[in-house]
Amino acid sequence: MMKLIQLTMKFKLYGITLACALGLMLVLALGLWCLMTFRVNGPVYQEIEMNQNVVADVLPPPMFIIEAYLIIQEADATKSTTRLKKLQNRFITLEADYHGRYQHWKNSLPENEINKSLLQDSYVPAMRFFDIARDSYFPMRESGQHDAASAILHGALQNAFAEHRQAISKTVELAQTQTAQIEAETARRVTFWIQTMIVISLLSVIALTLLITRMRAIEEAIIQSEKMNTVAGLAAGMAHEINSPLAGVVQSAQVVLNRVSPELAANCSAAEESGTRMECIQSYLTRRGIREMLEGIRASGQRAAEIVASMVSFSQGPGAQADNSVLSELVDHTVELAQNDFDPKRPVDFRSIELVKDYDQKLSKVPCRASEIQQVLLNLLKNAAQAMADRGVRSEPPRITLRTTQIGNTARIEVEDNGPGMPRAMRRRIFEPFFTTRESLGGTGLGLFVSYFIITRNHHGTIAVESIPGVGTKFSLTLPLAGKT
Amino acid sequence: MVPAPIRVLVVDDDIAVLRSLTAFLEDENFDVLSTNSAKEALNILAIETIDLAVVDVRLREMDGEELILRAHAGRPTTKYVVYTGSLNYQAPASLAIAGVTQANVVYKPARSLSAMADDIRRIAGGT
Repeated sequence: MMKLIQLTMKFKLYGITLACALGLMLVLALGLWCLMTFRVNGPVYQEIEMNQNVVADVLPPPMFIIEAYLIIQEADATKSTTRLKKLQNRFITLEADYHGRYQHWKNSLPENEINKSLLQDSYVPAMRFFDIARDSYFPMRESGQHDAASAILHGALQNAFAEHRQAISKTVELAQTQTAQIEAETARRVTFWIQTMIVISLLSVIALTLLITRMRAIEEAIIQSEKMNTVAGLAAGMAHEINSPLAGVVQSAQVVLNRVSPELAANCSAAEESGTRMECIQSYLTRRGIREMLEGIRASGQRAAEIVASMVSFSQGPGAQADNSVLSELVDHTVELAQNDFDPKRPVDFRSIELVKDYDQKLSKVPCRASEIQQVLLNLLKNAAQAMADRGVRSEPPRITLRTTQIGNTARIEVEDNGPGMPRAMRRRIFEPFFTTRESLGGTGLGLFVSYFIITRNHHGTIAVESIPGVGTKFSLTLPLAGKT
Repeated sequence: MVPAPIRVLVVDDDIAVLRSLTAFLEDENFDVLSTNSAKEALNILAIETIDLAVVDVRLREMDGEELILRAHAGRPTTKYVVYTGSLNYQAPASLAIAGVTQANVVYKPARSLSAMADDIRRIAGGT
């Protein structure tokens, strides 16, 4: 069961790690894609650049046609035939230049609205302008029809030129609008992707933080478990090694006490053979307080043996068989035991403590050794109750909350108090053997040590503690619901 | 006035344990032999008629379980008590052949030697 929990935990960790890695990779990929898309000379840049080129080409508008128009106006103003001829030649060059430019646009510009406006809408009136100038205006001037030519200039020619200019203006406007649109669109896209990257980065960082926190918690639990196993091994080894010499001490004391007793016939005869009587020996032993001291040796040896025994009490054989227990009944029964258990050395007044019971009535029966679970619960209840003495003056009354719940395939028991709580340093050590805060009250510091192994080793469950100084402490036990592994 | 005393062999490599247990059982009117050597114990068990042997698990030459099995092969009527300082010791199934079950295991230090003497009487008596 423990393995299963570890396994699902492992998968969760892998999941979070994978999410982190994917998130970071996504951010990297997006970043690269953005760089590629929006970089100088990238596709978006080129699109903008091209429109700017169109605008640059037409703004200032193609000089050829404007110059041609000015030339015709100048020609109209002059009467000199040589001057007129010169201007006409210049006009022919300009027309050729315009066609050249037009061919360049036609070949280099892709098909779109702007180019259509440039290549068709402005081209048609331009052609008309050049045609009229070439075929009507200059021939009329050559034939001396200055007035008729002037009329054409101010009529058809001017109209064609104006129409061409209008088309050019429209082209510029279109190009500018489109560029502005593309720029706005680009800005929007860049903003969107940067925001997306920030969100993904943040999520990845959150996942990573979660991962690190979980890892640290698991690491702490593993260290705890290793530490406890080391100590348990040490305790078991020590128990074995120390019990033989303790047997020597305890047994020898018992034998000596036996052999100074007047009730044993062998003692009396040995005394007489030694020239004395048991009464004399008795009197001597009483005067010198020797019997009490022998009893002291036996009792101390016995006490040491009991400490050793309680250190390894959780591992004493198969013990009672696991039964299916209703946890709420088990908890209630333990509360009764705690209330009736009066230890003069460690007085606990349960009446002054409010008991809150929050049981999950749907919780299935839990396979466990009831007596062991009761031992653990009794220990937790007593610890909580005794800690209340140190909680100081607080507005809320002392309270112990008992909860049972089902989480997945495990049953969970919580014993929560609103006592003084523990600082972190203490919380980390409470499961260690002989760690006690109530030396003066006769605590041995073995209660939680033994509880730890009853839960983890005998029941394949978990025991954990949360505590906030000044707020309280919560112990959580989990026991697997399915059969033991 | 009394039937023949129960003959007990105590085997333990801890001299203080051996000596005090032997002394106590003598005071309780057992006929007691003792040794701290597993090999010597095997000899005694082969030569003498021993009703019950109190055997420590950890001995120098061989462990107590082996001692019991070897002694049982030669003297199937001898009963045994396992006396061990290992609190999680469980009588192994292999010892059942020699009549040793969990009821024959006493943990060190015995809380009361009188109670242990009673156990020995009960087990030696075959009940």
